[in-house]
Amino acid sequence: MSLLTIKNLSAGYGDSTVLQDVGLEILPGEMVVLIGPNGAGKSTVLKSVFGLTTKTAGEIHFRGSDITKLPTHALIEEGIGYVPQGRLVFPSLTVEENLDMGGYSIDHKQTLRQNKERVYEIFPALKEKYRSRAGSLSGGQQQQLAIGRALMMTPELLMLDEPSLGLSPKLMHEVFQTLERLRQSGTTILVVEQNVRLALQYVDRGYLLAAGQIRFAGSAAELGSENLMRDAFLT
Amino acid sequence: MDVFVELVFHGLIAACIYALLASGLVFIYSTTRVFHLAHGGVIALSAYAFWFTTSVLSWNIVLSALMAIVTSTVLGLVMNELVYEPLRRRNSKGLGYLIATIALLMISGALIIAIFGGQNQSLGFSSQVHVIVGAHVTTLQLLLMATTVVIFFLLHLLSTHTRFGKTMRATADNEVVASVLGIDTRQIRRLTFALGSALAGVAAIFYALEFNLDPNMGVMMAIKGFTAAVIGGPGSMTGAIVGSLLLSGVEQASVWYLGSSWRNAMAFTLLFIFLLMKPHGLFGRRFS
Amino acid sequence: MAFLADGLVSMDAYLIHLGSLIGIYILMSLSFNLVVGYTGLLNLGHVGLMGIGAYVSAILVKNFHLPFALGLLAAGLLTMCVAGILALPAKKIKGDYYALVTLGFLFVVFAVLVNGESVTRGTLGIPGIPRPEMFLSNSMYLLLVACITATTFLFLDRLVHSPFGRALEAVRDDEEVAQMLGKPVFKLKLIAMMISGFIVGMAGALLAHFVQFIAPNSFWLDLLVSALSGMMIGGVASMRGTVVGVVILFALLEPLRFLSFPSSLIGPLRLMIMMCLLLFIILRRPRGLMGRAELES
Repeated sequence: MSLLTIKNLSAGYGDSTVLQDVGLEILPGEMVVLIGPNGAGKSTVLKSVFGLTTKTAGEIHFRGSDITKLPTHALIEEGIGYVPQGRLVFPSLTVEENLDMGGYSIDHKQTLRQNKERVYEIFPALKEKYRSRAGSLSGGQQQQLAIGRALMMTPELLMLDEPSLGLSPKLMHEVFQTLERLRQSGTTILVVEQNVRLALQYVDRGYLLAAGQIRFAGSAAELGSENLMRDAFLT
Repeated sequence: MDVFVELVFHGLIAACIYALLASGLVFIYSTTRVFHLAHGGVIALSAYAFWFTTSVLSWNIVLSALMAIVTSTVLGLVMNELVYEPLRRRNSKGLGYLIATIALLMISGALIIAIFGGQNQSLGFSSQVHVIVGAHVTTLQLLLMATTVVIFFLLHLLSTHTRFGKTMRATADNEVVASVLGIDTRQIRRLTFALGSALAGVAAIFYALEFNLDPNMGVMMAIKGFTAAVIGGPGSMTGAIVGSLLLSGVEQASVWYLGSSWRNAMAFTLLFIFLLMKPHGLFGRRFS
Repeated sequence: MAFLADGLVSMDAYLIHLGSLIGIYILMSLSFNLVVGYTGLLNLGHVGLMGIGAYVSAILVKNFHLPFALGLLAAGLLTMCVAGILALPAKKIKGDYYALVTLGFLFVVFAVLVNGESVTRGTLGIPGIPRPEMFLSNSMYLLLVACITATTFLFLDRLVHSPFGRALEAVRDDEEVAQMLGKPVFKLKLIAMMISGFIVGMAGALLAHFVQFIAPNSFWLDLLVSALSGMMIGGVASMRGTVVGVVILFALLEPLRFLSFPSSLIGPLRLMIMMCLLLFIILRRPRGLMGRAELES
């Protein structure tokens, strides 16, 4: 059974519609990429799942139950994590406090501490800097923190919006290697990525989005074919 | 020399009042990014409520003090819910808040005249005088200084050591991301206004006990709080303290050298210079 | 609008008196809209500039016996220069922060008027400001104000519809784009501020010689919020709207005089009504009645 299903989704912001009749399906344990040219609506897909857009048609199901109308905080509790674009950490909070914010809805202190430890195991660099202000971290560390913060709720599905943005090639690979490890430990991953070549080295399969519609779905190899790419990005 | 010591103490007392004023402004600004000049109006209205309940209705002073704090808290909440929140939903960036807060400040002044009349009022409160290193200080003034120190200490604890404080700072940093993490940012702003305005109530009580009340005091309070906050950097509590001390110091110095009528003029000039030369204040992060 | 119409016995006399005030407020609000609405600089020091104009003319004409026309001109020119200086921070500072800087300027003007006692008589204000022989009667003064206001309106209305006006609006809408299109952004702001300063300085002088008494309080926050209300009711970036806005403001507030309220309540009541209206506009109709832009877009 699929973990996340989007059916015939039309969504946008206010009066403007960005997505039209979008459908996709993600199985548990997969790592799936969403690629496409600028303005295709890739981020809007993630935001729609996370309840941050106006939906005009369609349904979103998570673990078989309808989550189309659920508010954001309920989605977090359902097990969906979201890392917004642009390494949006809280710069004036310390690393530790940022993680606490990620676990905002956890009331149980023990759980909070365990989850924090788990994040520190994944990102040892964060543990070293746990008392530093997030604003003073390097770009790569801030991205780790943004991912770590989303992991605080131990999501089943982790959605990331362009995690490689503004990072050096080496750090980009590190981010995807981390995602790879997360997937191996059982987290399903849906990632929006502008850097197609990078992403296709790591994912199982993906969707190509253009002008608010799914144009193609297939394996990493199929998506990587030169013709398909040229068509999508030039038209 | 004695006169000088007296002047220093006067300066400290004024600085405490300014610090209480600025603390509310900074507290509210740092979480909500609203430069709440109407805070001055809230203080003025609460000070009049305090005077009215003690002097006219002869309430017990503790009860009146509670009344003043309730008044200020309710006023702050009402302003937030009726004006600032709707503006936020309209995506106001600052100009809207600024005009709105000036309008609210003017309404507060008009309300005072409409409800309590246009005369100056005084509580005629006096407390025991002590002589400390040659200066005359009243019990009330000592209490004011102690209260200011305690309040700043508590605010510091609140913002660094409590979950609410962390959430407040997170909301201040990035409201959208905070709400994405499940934080009810609107509720956080509501609580911030409640608490910041309660501080206005405390400032109002001390002001009313120490000085005369006049219907236009709200504007003056707003300007003084604004000045202290701008000097220190409007998002910084440390800045609020330093700004208050500096403002008060400049005021006392101008009283000493130029005469008491220059007090406000020098304060305004100081504000203007800081706005022009050091827009982020001494301890500030970026203003907007 | 705190100038009470003392000794005006008939309705006609009252309306003539009101006419001049409306004209002066229109001048103030038109020049305000030029910088706020068209150029995007929320100059909260506008009424401080007006105060400078008023004091300059009042002092020159009363103390130095200069002719009224020269006083008026000097008020305009000097205020224009000060407005030019006030435009300088706009080179670096933008948006709400520029508004705060100009608010600071208003405070400084106020402080100077209060403390420059040897020249301004401080809080006592300047009484007995003479009117010129020719415009001694209220009706003749109204004629003068009407002429100046009409000329100014025609000038500004043409100005904002000229390429210059469109360049100003480009600066307001997106400064960076305007810069890229090769518009001299700062120069445009400077010129707009100086034109606005000249007009509002003259408006101040006209007010001073009309009510014949000015004090620092005459150019304080009450006047600022009147200017804001007049402009916002009519609409940002609309000269016609501004005229309509000011007239509506007076039409709403003046009848309060004729209600049987205790006179001490009328002032606060007017202020409260005006402020609620201002809040309503920024919350519900940010374009006012005829505006073509919003303060924040």
